[in-house]
Amino acid sequence: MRLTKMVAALAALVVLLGGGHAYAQGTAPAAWSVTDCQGCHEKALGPTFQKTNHAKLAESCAKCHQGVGEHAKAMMAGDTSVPTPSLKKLTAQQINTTCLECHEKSNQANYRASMHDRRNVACTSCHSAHSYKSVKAQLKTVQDSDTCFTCHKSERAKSMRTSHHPVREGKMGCTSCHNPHDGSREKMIKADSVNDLCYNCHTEKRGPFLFEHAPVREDCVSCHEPHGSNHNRLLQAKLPNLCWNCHFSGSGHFPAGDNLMTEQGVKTTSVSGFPTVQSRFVEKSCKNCHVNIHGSNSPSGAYFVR
Amino acid sequence: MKRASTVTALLAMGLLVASSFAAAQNATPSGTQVPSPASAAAQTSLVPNDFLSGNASLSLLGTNIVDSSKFQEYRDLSRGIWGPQFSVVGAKPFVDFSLYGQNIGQRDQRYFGEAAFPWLSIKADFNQTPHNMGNHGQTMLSETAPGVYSLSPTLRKTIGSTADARVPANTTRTYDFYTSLLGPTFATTNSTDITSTRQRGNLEVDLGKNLPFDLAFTYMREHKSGFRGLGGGDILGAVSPVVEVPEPLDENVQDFGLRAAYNFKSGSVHASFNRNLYDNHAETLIIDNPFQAVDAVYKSSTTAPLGGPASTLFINPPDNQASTGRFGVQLKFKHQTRITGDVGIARLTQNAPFYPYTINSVVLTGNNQPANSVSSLQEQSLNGKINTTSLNFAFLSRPVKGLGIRMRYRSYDLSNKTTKWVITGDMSGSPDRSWSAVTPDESAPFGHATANPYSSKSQGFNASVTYDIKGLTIEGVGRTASLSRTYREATSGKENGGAFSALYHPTEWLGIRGSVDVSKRTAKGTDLVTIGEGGSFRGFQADEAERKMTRTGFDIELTPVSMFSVSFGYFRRNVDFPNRPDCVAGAAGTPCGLLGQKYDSYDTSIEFTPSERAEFSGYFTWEKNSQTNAFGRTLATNMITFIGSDKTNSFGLNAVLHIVPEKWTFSLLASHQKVDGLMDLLVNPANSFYINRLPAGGPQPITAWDDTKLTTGVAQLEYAFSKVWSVGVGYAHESYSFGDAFTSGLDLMPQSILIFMKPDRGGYHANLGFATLNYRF
Repeated sequence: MRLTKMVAALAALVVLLGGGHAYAQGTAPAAWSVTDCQGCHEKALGPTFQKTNHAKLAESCAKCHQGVGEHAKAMMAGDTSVPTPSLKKLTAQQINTTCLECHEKSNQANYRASMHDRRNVACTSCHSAHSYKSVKAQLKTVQDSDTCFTCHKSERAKSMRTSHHPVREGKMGCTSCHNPHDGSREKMIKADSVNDLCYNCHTEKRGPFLFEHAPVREDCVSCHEPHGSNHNRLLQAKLPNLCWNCHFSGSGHFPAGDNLMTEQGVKTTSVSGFPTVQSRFVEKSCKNCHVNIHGSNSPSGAYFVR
Repeated sequence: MKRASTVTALLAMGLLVASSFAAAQNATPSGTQVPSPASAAAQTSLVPNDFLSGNASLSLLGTNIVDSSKFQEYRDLSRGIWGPQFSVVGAKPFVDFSLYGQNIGQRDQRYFGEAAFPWLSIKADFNQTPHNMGNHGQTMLSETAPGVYSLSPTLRKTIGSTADARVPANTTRTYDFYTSLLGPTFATTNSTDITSTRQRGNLEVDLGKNLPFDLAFTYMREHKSGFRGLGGGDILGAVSPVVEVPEPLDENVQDFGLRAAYNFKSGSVHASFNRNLYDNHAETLIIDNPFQAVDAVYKSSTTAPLGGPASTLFINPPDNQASTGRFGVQLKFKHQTRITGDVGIARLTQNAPFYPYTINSVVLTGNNQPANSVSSLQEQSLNGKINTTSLNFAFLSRPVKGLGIRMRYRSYDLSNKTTKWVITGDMSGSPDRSWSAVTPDESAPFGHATANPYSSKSQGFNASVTYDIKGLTIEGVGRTASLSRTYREATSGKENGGAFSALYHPTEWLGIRGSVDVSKRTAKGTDLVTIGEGGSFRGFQADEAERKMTRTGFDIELTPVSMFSVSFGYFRRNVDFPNRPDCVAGAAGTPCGLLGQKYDSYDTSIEFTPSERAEFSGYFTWEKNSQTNAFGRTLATNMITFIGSDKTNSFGLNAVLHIVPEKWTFSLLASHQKVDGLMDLLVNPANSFYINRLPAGGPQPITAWDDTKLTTGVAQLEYAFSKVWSVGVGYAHESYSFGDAFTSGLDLMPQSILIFMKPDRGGYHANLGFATLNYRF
């Protein structure tokens, strides 16, 4: 590294003596290279940056930072009044225009229509070209969820709930389900519908089935809270209350005068009748019997009991 | 700001050390250097074409014994030596490559690699995820074959005949009786851990590097094994126990994909096709009936029931397939004008052979055929087909400075093309016990409402206008959507709404954002819902019913100095369901079902970086989530009204101290969340089924409504004793508790005729100590 600096310094001296006249006239070198900036900006152009495709671009720094030539000329002349070509001085729209010049394709094709762009979220809010920490996508945090949680605080709190997708364990990320650049799908999900998205991992629920539970076919989030819940199985509410949202009277399972001393479990004094008929609150509640609630392919499964 | 779990913290620390080394090697020397413009002889690229670098770490982990599966629900924290992570990045003249690995050799291992050749690039990813759902579950049955749980016929005969002799059944077969009957068997049960493993691999081969267009092939394969969770269900007979056993899991999913895109100056076109195959090798679950040794004709009786099946067959998800094709175009014009459109078509199919109505050998169909034979089935398979078609079109433009216009149309059509038949009889009404004729009606033309080939179509259009005035951006949105359905109560509906938002960023140190969104959904249809007790009332199910939703949000970010920032936020979502059906036909004012939902949250976060040697961050979030329901029978005097809610407090703290820069680093991470659930009975009439649980009268709370508490703390000290080596030691603590009013105070199951496995997935206290060695090359 020291040898490289010496060579660069010598080259600079040669150029200064031989090429300084060109700078005095205010013209940038004919082919601007990243090594022209490295002399002062070693940290930003260190090994972390060198591993990226940005480092291989022709004109590299000048591709994103406007006014690099003027900045270099001014710095050589000791003039600090010329604004530095830092992206921090640009608006979100200006930053995004810079990045999208190359990246407006594939997953980022619809960024301009996305909620993030509409809320003036700059690409550099989440990504860093020079000092990223993630393995993929050059994010400013190790995990994508940590980036998202800086703004989406409710989802951070939900991800800490007892029933959760393995996001905080690092097995999934927000981008497993969402494309944060998307402007064409509801909630930026990576599918045409919520169910199509869920089937990517929960393919056994795709069916079709002989007997279908219609709200399940329509929308998984009718019952589930995918970001996290304190109820089992990521359910929005505790059973049987969730089922009672639609099934108003329990279809005869809770007749008048029914003894629900066993509601808190079957450890009670003996009561008349079948003690466990009333124990429809315990464990999986309605799902103790209605086991195939997402749909049944059994010829005897019209009520999802088989 | 890091919000990481224990393992992620370990990983983060490893990468932090690696990046700190990178920084050390590239630190800008003090003083200003004269820039050196390029000359013809100088290097024009930073990237050498022949290098190898990376890092690896080794860790020693010690932990106390934790019985609860919740501690390692999705992770592997086994005691001993393991490799938290490694990475290799390099280049040769003909290839650039990288390889990353996490949790090497553990049940939660993950690897990602990439190789880029001049003419193609390859990416591969392997992710293994354990799912531990309960330890030491007890079952008195034995798995004698995959998915077959058996109990000795002799024992079943003894248990069954003792129960049969206990009459009158409705007054003498009590909890104490069953506990005494089954207790000796339960005492010798086997212990089983309910766990599964998901292994997913992805491969992408990109052939477009030397082509004028992008072309890539993708392949995904996933294998799931172990147990899906606690399975089983109700075994209906003279005695109808609920028997819980581990549900077998052995399935593969494969996805074959082709993707192409052509990018040109004014836009792009893209297309893709995917074929996805789901194969389930554990199609059934068979469970012996503890109360019946041989199949016998069922005799229904309140006082002396007899007979029933010796075993029960549960059907697991059948094999299915999906083909999806997509085509899209994007056109770019001046003033950031974009026109995009894409269409997606998918077909879902399922044609797995049916299993018989039952495996009870004594039941006959209405045609006097054995119900346990597939030859008695009306059809041998479903031949199920569902087509989906999605359309997305968008237009956006910034015609003049500061003005943004966006319009979007979206359509999703789900059409069930399965040819259904009218079911004339089955055993759905009394599975494994008796055959029943099935009579179709208006709401169930194929015999059962659940046999209807449900279809739906939604279309939506929204338009927004954004205007920037210096530091202020305002946006107005209007939207309308329609939904149509077949075979559901609400056959059509609309949802119209609008939103307004404002972002104010006048200076670098202040940002304010506010929004309000209002929508209203209507529903039309037959709106006749038949309830099980023979009554009927008009209304729609909650997910299709009329709804009014309001969402408001506000947050403010302050950065008074560069080293300190603080933010405050508030969000509220309020949903009302007007015109809910009356529980009691003809009795106005007795609305039923979901009546309303509310969600409120407050949050605050702080970041403080006093110097390059210290970073602090913290957050606090308060949430309240509630649902208001009414539930009851056909008697107005027998309804209950209740609010189920949970209040959550979450906070986190993160600190990183570079005690001696690039030498000694101390990091601390802590998080805590407490959820307090509540079932608040607002009205509890004298005849309601809650009467024996709680006295009749006004508000009655049931606490421990899935209460949880999770606390995590990790502290680590790292020392870099050379440019390439560093060591770290650390301690982590995690504690968790869970409270459920429906199970608290219960003896460990199994008990009575709810034969649950009751595995341990409850509270725990865990203490971990770890030491890590890192090497960078």
